[in-house]
Amino acid sequence: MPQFCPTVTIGSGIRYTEVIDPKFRNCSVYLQFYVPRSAETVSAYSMLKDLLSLASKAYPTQAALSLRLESLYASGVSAGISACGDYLVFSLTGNWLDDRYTLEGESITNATLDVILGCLLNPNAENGAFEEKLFRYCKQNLLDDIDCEINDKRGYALRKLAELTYAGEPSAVSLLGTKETAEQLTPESVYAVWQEMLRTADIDIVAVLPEQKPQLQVRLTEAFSGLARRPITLTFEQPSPCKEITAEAEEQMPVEQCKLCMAMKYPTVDYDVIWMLNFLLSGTTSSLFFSNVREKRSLCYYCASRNNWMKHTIVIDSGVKTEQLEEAKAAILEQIDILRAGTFTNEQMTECCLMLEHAFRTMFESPKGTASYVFTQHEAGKERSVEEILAARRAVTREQIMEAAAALQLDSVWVLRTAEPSNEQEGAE
Amino acid sequence: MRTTVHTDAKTGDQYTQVFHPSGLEIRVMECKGYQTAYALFGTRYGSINTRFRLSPTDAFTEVPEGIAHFLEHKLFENEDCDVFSKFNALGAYANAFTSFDRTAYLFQASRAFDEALEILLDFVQQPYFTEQTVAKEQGIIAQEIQMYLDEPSDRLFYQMLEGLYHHHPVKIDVAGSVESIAKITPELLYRCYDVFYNLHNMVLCVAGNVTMEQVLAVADRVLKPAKPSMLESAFLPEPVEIVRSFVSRKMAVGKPMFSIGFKSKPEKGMELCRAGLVAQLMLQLLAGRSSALYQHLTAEGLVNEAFAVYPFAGDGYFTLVFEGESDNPQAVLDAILAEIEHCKTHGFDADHFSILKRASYGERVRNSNKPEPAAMNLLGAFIVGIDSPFAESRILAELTLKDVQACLCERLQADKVCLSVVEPE
Repeated sequence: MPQFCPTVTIGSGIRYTEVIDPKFRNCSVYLQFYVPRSAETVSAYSMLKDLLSLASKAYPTQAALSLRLESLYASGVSAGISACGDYLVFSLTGNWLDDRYTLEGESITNATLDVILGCLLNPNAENGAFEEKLFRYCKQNLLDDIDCEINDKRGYALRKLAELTYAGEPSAVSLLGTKETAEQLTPESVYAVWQEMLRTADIDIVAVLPEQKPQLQVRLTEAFSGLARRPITLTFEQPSPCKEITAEAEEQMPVEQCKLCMAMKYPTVDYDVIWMLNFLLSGTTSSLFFSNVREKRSLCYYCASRNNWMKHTIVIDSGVKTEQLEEAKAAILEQIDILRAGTFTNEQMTECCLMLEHAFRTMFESPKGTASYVFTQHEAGKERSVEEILAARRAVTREQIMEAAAALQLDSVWVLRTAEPSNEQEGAE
Repeated sequence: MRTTVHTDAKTGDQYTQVFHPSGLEIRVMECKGYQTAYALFGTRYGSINTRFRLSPTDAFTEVPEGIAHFLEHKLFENEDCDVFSKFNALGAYANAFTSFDRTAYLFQASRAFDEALEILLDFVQQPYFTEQTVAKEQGIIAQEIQMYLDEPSDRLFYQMLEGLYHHHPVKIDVAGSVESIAKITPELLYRCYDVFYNLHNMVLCVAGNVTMEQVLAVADRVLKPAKPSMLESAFLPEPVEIVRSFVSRKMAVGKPMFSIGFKSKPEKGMELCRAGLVAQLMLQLLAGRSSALYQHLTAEGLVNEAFAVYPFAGDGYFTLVFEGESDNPQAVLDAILAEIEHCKTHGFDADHFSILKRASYGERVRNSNKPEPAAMNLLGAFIVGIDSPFAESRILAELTLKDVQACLCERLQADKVCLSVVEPE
């Protein structure tokens, strides 16, 4: 089991947690910057993930930075953005081979830390603007990403559902932004957003290491000490109001399979109860969706649900045939009725807890999973041990689930519908 | 039982290989510090094995495309219950997958490992197919196939393989088509099961918090001895030449996508393992993120962050792939061909080669002691016919610049390339 060191504050609004687990052969440091999710800045953050991970002042081109990382036994620097309720999370991750495994026994920890911190705090920029050539490349990447959102039909459908479900709320904002907001970005405007992030983001850092590396906390503390910090205060739980009349929308595309997406909202419900409810729906291969919608009725290959506790919303999605759309929707809602009626088995509830126990153990088998456990605890705002979480979920009763299910309301439905039979055109030379 | 202990000279990792009297090969790697164990019960049977015979005097049997994948789905259903429920009751995660050259059933457990292993070995040895259950599965798999038909990267890749391969079934979707799976019957499933699920054609790979003694105790109890078979899975002769140099289609995508494939000589066994490693390094030198070609392509705005290179190889096929998104795929191909010629003439940089070799070592060492990748590596080595995945470390250490240069000259030929494009509607 990993050894979790107490979380310490290493700067204003900057938490640092070190986790030691000798079974790992690599060292990993995960930095998460929580910032407001707003249509005005999402495109800039999306671009920053490339600007801060493809080059730095010391290694000003992608080739130079790649070569440096490759020379350090394929050390890695990567960045990404994700949603966390009404916030956006900008993540920067660094990882490197533990010094014990280098070929000549040389230490690469400090050299890799130089590269990681250089990317974050000394990017390829000067005079308040990112370097023009790098900026142009990253901007084109962003525009391409926005264009290519439709390539992943399932992801596209879920994004469109989010726009409908959270209309008027920050959670409706696409993480990439729009072509218009991306086109307006300049080397100066993105630089300003980067500066704003360093000054105002709530920062959570987790290092997962095979052995103590005291220099890491020291280096991180020093790196952030020069910033005039004014961190924002986070309120993760911001329930989305349920619509009085279910919102429905659809789009047509030349696709083979329709995508059916539904959002159900709930009032304040105990977190462990709603977790169990969601897991009964689609957490295991004995779950209601898998058993009844897929296996018994052959309506789909996948039917999944996920719970967004920060927005009090459960999102359900499935890929189905056009002619079975209504049947699939009805079958999905029937599973909610099963929860309301309490006609699920004790075995299904027990299996949820067993799979959760397994999921925790699996989580600690990777540095990323270990770090995500820490982040999730911090976001939930209450630190509970694995045993405490398991005990709380085992204590959830059938009646509590029935009550929570009764409160679920269908908020919105979004469908990606097949426009017409596919019309493949092939050419050959 | 013949038992061999294999050791990785660099990391000290060890795994034990046992040839069980039942005919099954068992590979176990203990991973210190990990709480879970990952088990894979695999067979050398994938989507490419559509033509086979059991005796050199027999005629070849041909079966519908996608049947290996269909069989994988159906094995989870026993006569009396759904196998998943048995794993769920133990709190073990179970799944399975089929690829071009293998099918594997797996579970990951953090408790009750012995019971879960017994379920795994038992259910894979007990096929149960009926008209009714086959019909039910045809509906589910048809949805899976349709989902993949909407995946532009899948269409792009298979289209490229169709441009390269005349006969080899690697060009066929792993899941087959809605039409081909409609031809599958319980009788055909039993036939394929009997042929490919012979324990002599299979392997059990386990890695994690587990010992060989634990595994053998269950194997001794559950495995039903099998007679060796004379299985021959063969392909129609594949010409060296490609089918066509350009293939395209339109789909709902945001930007043109390309996949450039170079057809080259297939390899087997240890030579396949070695050739794959050499090709991987060579492609990184030629077109990886630190290469001159990648710098040129990005500077010209010809590719974006989606650009990737990798070798794709198995029984009877060996392709080197360059893929990504571009408004001008033909210009990307032209630049790649020009750089290939340049490197053939001027050679790769020795220092760059050393750095990439070290990077490759670092990538390998990091994950080699984790249960899931360790078990997957053990399975991968079995499928290509080599005793130990640790052979890769030794091969990598011995690779020279000359090897990589030779790979470039032999495997990247301008007349063996197909450009596959998916364009926006």
